[in-house]
Amino acid sequence: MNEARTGLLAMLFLLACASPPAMATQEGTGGLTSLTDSALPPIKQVSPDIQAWTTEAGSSVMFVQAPELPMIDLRLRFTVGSASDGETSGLAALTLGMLEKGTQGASAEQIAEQLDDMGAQLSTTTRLVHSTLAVRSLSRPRERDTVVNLISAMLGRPAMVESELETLKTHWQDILQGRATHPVFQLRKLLFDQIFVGHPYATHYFSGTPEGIAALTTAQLAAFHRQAFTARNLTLSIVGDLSRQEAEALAQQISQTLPEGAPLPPLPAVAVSEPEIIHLERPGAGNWVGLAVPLAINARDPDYLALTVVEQMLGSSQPSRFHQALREQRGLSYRPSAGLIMLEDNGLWLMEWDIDARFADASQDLVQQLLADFVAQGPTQAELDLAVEQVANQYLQAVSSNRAMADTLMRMGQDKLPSNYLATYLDRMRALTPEGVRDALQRHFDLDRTVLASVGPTVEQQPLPGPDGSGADLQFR
Amino acid sequence: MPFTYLRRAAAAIATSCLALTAAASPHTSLQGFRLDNGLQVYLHEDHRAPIISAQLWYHVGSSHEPEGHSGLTHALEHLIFEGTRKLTADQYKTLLARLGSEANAFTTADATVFYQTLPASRLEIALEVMADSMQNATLGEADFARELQVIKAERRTEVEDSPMALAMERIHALAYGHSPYATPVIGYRQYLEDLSLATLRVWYQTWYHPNNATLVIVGDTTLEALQALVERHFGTLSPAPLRSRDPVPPSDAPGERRLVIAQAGLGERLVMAFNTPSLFTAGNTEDALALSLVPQLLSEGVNARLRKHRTGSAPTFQYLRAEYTLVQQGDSLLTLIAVPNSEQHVSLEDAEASIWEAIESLQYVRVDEHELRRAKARQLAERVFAADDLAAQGRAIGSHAVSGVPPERLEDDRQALQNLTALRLQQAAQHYLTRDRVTVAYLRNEEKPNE
Repeated sequence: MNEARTGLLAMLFLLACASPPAMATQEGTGGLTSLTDSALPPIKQVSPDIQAWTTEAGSSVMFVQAPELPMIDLRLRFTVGSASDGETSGLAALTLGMLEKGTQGASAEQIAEQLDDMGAQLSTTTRLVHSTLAVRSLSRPRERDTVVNLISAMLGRPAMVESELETLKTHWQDILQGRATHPVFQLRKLLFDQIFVGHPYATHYFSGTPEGIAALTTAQLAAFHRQAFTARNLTLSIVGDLSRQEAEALAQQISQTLPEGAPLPPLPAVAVSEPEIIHLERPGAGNWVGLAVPLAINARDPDYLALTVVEQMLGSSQPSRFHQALREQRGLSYRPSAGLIMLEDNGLWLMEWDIDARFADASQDLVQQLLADFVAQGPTQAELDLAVEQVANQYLQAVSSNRAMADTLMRMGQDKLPSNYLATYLDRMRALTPEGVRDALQRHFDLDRTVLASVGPTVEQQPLPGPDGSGADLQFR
Repeated sequence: MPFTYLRRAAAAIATSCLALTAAASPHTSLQGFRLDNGLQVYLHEDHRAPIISAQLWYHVGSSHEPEGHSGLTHALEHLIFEGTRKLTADQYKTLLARLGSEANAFTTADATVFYQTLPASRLEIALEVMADSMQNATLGEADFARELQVIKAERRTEVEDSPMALAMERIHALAYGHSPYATPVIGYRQYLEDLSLATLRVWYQTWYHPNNATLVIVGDTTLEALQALVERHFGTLSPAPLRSRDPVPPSDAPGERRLVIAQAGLGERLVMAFNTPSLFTAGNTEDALALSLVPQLLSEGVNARLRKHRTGSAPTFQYLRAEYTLVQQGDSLLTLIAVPNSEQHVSLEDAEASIWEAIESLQYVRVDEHELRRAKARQLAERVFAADDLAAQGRAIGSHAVSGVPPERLEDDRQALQNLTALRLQQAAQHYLTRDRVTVAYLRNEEKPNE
């Protein structure tokens, strides 16, 4: 959510169609000759050799050696984000941003030049509960050492120059303006404000306010840097063409350069939220609609696995009931999406869809009913089987490239999962039963606290057309 | 491998029926063969994991559409998912979902692409499904009616609800002028309203043939294994005489064009689009590669020239993005989008002047060796990094093939980029970044009177 660059050009040059598959309403392999029974050829099992250790300074490291390509991927994730901004809105985002804007040895321009000279790629993201640097470099010693030295200096000895902060503020005001006027951000802000009322998860959802950003000083950023960007707050993921010994040295070098400040105060507990229906008026052609259910769970909870497969059965890009209802049967929405959003020990189940403004209310009723039925009955065996197959496919993808592997390690680190977590992942997934999934859903989904929100123009509401297109004038406007 | 390097590649492929021959190119690990029916196949082996990206590229995109039929190709792409002779729509979609982690399609100006990333053990099933949909798609009435609603929803969500996307659609239309690349891939709304299933069926019968397609496979298989599977499932399809596409007029230097778009919700922005040749239409590779370095020098990367440009003590631009469409069958565009620094009260006129100043400096002063090396370093490293992504490698191969540039040249181009001189870059800037090739758009936010 921190990307300053939008794909303004890309979206005109290349139009993804996103035709997602439909629900498994009809089993069978039709007239295919390469698949005569319903069992697909098995997937070859891949178990990456994940090595984990803790540096002397206290950073946890996960490493996968990948010697095939001459490159390295690093993820440096600090377990502090915008939710820790306190009274100084924008603090986490701008502190991270300033790390690139000069060290005690090199100006912002010199840093950028050196990274470019090495062909290295660096990106940063600030979220509510973490701040991340992602680095990609060639693995030859010349490039690798230059890049690691730079990263270490940026993290350990940022210069926090006043004039650079002014430039960064302008840039951030622009990003905030973009978020504040984007319908999907507006929708999520409505939902977060209701579910995390008064909590930093709601207050700091945009990672800054115009007034907060304007008031920030370099002294505040420097102090936050000392408290947040410590070795103990860092989980470091390394994937690429280097030995264990070289990976250890790299981790050690970065880790020991980090500041040692007093820890930040913990975030307040999340209060129990109330159900609500909210609408934000906005001119436009359609409505963005959202449904959210608060959750109190983390990734280490035994029920979490069941909720992960629910993402397939009720979620975005898979043959889910949700997709079936809105897009496959009725052609009402181009991009229905759904899934879990996790924030440490809390989170929410979020469903979002675009729709013709006339059907906003009726589509909310439809989705709400669909969710209620699913929680009450659980999935069918066929739905679960399909979802588990999809998860297995995704798992294979998640360990098959250096980039995906680095992201996987980063998420494991964020969730504090053990390094052998993946070894039994698919077996545990395959052991799920429809009843088990239903029970887990009923334990965690309190539908009486559902929040509904919509953003867009208000027009006279109409009933939804039937699945066969009957019952309403579907003329596009 | 006999490749014909012609301006109208789609037409060229139609006439060529070669024996099944396999040959590894001397320069790359790219291998390929062609079936008797004309289907071109490329394989890039990558055995890091038991996974494959399979992509079927049809040489038909929005630029092939006759006037008044924008959106036809993209709509057909949607409808292919609605079943075939062997599989009902439900079976088709369910099978795709089970086979791999990602199955989808996209349409560009030059191509319609169906792709899947899946476990290597399941490649044959994916190939059979792709072959089946090449000539046996159902294209049913009810599916068409519903899918057309989805496409309109797509247009509403992706374009009509975004003032910037709408503005870019107009800028494109002006910049490309009479070229068929002027129309948006998704199609104008009035044409979507008039679209008929009968037209889609004709479009399908016109272009979905083995001799108008390229199959790209990247991942964990071998040429021998792949040949057997491709022969089994695609070998029986018959080629068809292909309609040669209408000639695409070269864009050359049509004169300076300007427009102002004022609309509520539109941020203050400057867009400049230069008519340029693509890798395919440029008389020589160096011109196109030189143009590909221009975004790097002007706006991409923190130390790019325009990013460092200052007004007083503050940066002139709040946001900058430049993009050059290197791979395209027709002439293309080099587009620059800039948001002037509002806090410093930089006007659109000032912003435009600063950009012209930077362009003129590329034209009059040769880029110094260090800056040139840096611009190349990023691109060359990106080419190394690209090897990590099977699907991206497949897209590079496929997009070259459909634009008429033999994918074997990917490796040669890397070398050519390394050897590119500052003089060549200067000459390309002088020739192509001129006022008689530019479309300039001023975008302004027009608040409603009561707000």
